[in-house]
Formats: sequence, structure tokens, C-alpha cells
Amino acid sequence: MSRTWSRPVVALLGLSLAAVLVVLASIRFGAVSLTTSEVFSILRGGGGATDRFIVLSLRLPRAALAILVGGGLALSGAVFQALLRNPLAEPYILGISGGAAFGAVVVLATGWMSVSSVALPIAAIMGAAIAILLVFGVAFSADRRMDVRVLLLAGVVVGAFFSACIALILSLADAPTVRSAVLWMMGSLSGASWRGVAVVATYTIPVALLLLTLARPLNLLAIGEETAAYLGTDVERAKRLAYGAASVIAAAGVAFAGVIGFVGLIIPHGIRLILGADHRFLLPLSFIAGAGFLALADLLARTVVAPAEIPVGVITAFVGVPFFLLLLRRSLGS
Amino acid sequence: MIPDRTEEQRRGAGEVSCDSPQRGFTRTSADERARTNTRRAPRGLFHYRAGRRVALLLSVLATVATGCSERPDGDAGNDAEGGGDRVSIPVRVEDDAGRVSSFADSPGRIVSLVPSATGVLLALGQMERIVGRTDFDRAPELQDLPSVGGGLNPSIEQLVSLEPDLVVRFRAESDPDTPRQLDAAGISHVAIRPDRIADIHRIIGMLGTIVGQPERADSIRQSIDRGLREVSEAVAGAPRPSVVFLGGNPPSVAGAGTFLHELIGIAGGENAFADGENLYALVSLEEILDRDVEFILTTEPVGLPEALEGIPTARVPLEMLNPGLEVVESARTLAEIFHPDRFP
Repeated sequence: MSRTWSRPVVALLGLSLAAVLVVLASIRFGAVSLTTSEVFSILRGGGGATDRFIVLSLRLPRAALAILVGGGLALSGAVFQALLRNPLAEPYILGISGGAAFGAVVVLATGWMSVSSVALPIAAIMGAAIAILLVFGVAFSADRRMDVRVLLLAGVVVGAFFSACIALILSLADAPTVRSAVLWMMGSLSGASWRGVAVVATYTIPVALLLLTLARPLNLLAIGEETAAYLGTDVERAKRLAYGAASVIAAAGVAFAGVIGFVGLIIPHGIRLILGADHRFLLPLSFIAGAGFLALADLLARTVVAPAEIPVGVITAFVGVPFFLLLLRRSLGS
Repeated sequence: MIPDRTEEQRRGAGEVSCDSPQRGFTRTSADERARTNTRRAPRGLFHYRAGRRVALLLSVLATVATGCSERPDGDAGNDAEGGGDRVSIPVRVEDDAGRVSSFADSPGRIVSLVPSATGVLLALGQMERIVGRTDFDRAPELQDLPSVGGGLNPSIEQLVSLEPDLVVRFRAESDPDTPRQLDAAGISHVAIRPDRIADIHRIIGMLGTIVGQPERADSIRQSIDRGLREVSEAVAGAPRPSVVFLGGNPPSVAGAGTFLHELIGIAGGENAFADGENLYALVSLEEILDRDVEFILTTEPVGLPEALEGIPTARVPLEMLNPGLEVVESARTLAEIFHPDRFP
């Protein structure tokens, strides 16, 4: 008993502590240098107006968005890997990134951006929703059961279709639009605002809690659908709920932060390599590790070549891939 | 003495404009556009001394410099502080995004995210007010200022920390974050979009109004007009070669909406793809060959498609794609390529 629980609990505490430290660091450091005491006095209500704006309206919402999006992507990735029983599955596998990017690029190219500042996130969410509905429609059409292989294929194909649409629009667009679209597709948290954080939080937090309750059915589904059914799981219901929930989280994240790769792939696998595939631990730990990882990546993205910024998706790959390869090597060696 | 000048003098509290304006300037942009268009018409032969090419670029700035020295009371030093004594306060301007901003005080701290606008501010003698730059600003006097990163994706944090009273930003529909975050920080900003020659005219006027230097802005605009007119007069009457601008890989051609199209016209050439609706369109090599182009302009350092070998090719600097104060020099560079005989 204590043997099964002690490792995950230690990991949970350790990862939480690391995530908190990263978040504190991302409030402390930025393109503008402030001292620790200045930052503390701002958090307690002091400081000049400019410094207050930098910490409270730029760094804090950015850290909050990193937590929600990073945690959401890692959680969503863990769920997709279990459902699709495919180690390559990631949050965007069902065409979500393609659909969301298509919505975003349409808004960027048409100039609807100037209508409202939420036009882009709304269009991205609608694009993601269209992609999800298309994929699910195809996957369900066989016989009222969801075929995982069909789902996977439909997701890849729908994603490719939207990519072609994006390429068509961008080939006709002017240079600033192309640049913005490419930057958006590489992912960035630089547009973070409290309003955006509030929207992502209303999607991500309840849906993430719902996914945590699906840990047991996911454990059984990872073994196999027949086994899960024998052991008393309503397989179809669990699958639908989990797919829908994981898609919503990925869509909300992509709408406000662009397409951020690798978090949803590397973090769940990393946790699995360390702790095994029990979803009761895997899901919450993935969320915490993903949150801390993206906050760290964003901290690097905005400080390494400050005042210029590197797209955060570049950092997640640069930092994540070598770390993941090491982990993979070590686990194969042992 | 031209009627304009007396008016300027009244308005300008005794400032002597060194530039004799050959036509008056009203600030409606429609009028400016019309002006730019008519300028393309040939006006007769005009001879140049050798070596005037560099002088042409400098003339824009020189006009301004002489303007300073002729000031009776030497108030150039006040530009940083006041400068607003020559215009009525508050100043109201409409920017290229259609936003109307008014300034109770002429902004004392300015950050321009658009290098060509930074150049205009420098030409207006506003170095003292500029408190930041982008990574793309090349002017040596700016290099000691803190950078805010790229102009299209600046570090808002760095930008806010410079506490500017005014940010001049690029109008990009695709970047809603910069204006939203500047609004949230309570920083005034004006959006500009220098696509064509008329735009750079309008931007010079707008910035001149904001910093309280309308006369100086007018003389810059007039010297640009004069420089462009001299180029088009120099090539007037010569046969107009068919020209294509090829950029990128796969190569795309500049259409009628581009700044290059305007430049080619002024420099005595004919844009072979003036019918292109897009700014830059991908076209097939067959189409380019079919149009019998006589010159290829390109920014690419190496290798055009083999099929185009044999057509005279000129490499032009990348800056020539975007309008700025160098517009006269760019036009002259092209004119010398198309009509070397007119520039002995």
C-alpha cells in the first residue's frame, strides 16, 4: 500500500514545488529588470504605475495562461494517448490545430481582427470545433460505435485538409499577414490578458476536473476495450466524454496561445516513464508538470534574446526533446 | 516670394523656411494621391551633373538642416521640450487605422516601431524625444537607445518600461495585441502603414503635426516631391522599358498596388505586371517570358531561374520594397538602370 502511493506522492509534491518556483521566477524575471524586493512590493500593492503594469498586467496573466495552457495540453495529450492506444497521439491529433489555425488565419487575412480583439480566439475555437465535429462525424458513421482507428485517420486527414486551406490563403496574403500567421502557428503567450485567462480558465478547469474523474475507465481502456467492457465500464460513454473533454481543453488553449507543440507529447510520456501508466497519478501529474514546463519555456522565450521574443513552441521543442531523449534512453537501459 | 511662404511665416512664429515650395500643400490625402499620380507624367529633359545621385538622398535631409540654421532665434534646441508653440494645442490627428488621437501636449517621449517613421522623426529633428528603437533600426545615432525587439512583435514589457508618451506602430490588422496592451497601459499610439509614396507623404505630415514641426514636415515633403519630379523629368521622352520585379523563391512579381510599381513608373519604366491585382503574385515563368520584359529587378542575391538568363538583371536593396525617406534615391537608382544615357 504505502509502496504504491509513496512514489507518486513524492513526485506530486516535487513537481508542484518546481512548478511554483518556475511561476515565481516568471513573475520575477522579464525583459525589464526589476529587483526581487521591487516585485514583492508591487505584489503587496506598492511600486510605480509602470512597474505595476509590467508585473500585474503583463507577467502575471502570462504566467497564469502558461499554467492553464501547458497543464491543459499535457493532460489532453495523456488522455489521447490512452484512448487511441498510440504513443504518437497528442492534443492536436484530431485536426484541432489545423482547424484552429484555419480560423485564425481567416481572421488575420480578412482584417476582421480590427472588428474585435476576441475575433481571433473565437474564430480559432470555431475552426477547432468544425474539425472536431468533422472527425467525430466520420468516426461515428460506421456503426454507432467509435472506432479508434477511424478516428485517428480522420483526424490526420482533416488536419491535412485545413493545412492546405491555410497554405492557399497565405499564398494570396500580404507579407505582414503571412508573418503574423506563421508566428501564431508557432505559438506565443505574448497576447496574454486577464480576460483571455478568464476564458481559458472557464473551459479548462471544469473540464480538467471531469477528466480526472475518468482515470479508472481510462486505466481499463488502455488495456483494451473488450477488457474494459467485461470489467463493467460503459466504454462508449467514457470514450465520448474523454474525447470531447480533451478536445475542448486543446481548443481553448490553441485559441489563446496558438499551436504549442511537444508539451502534450513529451510531458505525459515523461511522467509515464518515471511513474508508470496509472492514470490516477498520470493525469494530475501531467497537468502540474505541463503547467510548470510551459511557464519555464515561456520564461526562456521572453528572456533569452530579450527584448526580442522567441516563439514558445521553439523553446518547448529545444528544451523538451533532449530531455525526453535522455529519459527514453535511461528507461530503456534499466 | 510665394504666397505660401507668407502664410507659413504667420503660422510659424517667424520661422524662415529655406525651401521655396513650388506648390502649396493641403493635407487631404486624396489630394496627395492625385499629386503622386500626376508626377509620373513626363515633363521634358533635364540634365544632371555626375555624382548627384548621393546628393539627392542627402538633399531631403539637407533641406531640413538649412531650415534649422536659418531660424532667426535658433530655437532648434527647444524641440525636445516644447516645439508645440507653433501649432494649436490640442493637436488632433487621424492615423492610418482611422483612429483619431488628440494630444494636449506634444509628446515628449516617443518610441517608433516602424523604422521608416523613425527616419522621419530624425529628419524632423526629434532625436531628443526618441527613447527607444527596434532591432531593425540602422541609424547609428539610435544604437545606444534601448531596443524593444521587433517592430511587429515588440516586447510590450520593455516598451511600457520606457514610459513613452507616444508609440508609432505599424498598422497590421493581424497584430491586435500591441494596440490592446498599449491601451491597457494608457499609452497613446498612432498606427501607420507606409505602403506607397502617398503614404509616406501623409506620415511625414502626421508626425510633423504631432511633434509640432508642420513647416519642417512640409519642406521634407516638398523636397521629396522635387526630387521625384527631377527624376521623372530626366527620363521624360525616353522609351519606357518593360520591367518586372521578381522576389522570393518561388519568384513572385510586384503588381500595381506596390510601391515598386510606383517607383518603376517614376524612373521611366513600365511595370510588365501592372495588371496584377495582388501586391505580389506567383506567376509562371512562361508568363514572364511571354511579356518580353527588358529588365529584371530582384532582391535575391543569387540565382534566378535559368529560363530568364539573358535578360538584363539588376539587384536592388531590400529597403527598396518599402517606402521611406530614401524614396528619391531609390527612384534615381532605378532611373539610372533603365536610362543610363540620361545620367552621364
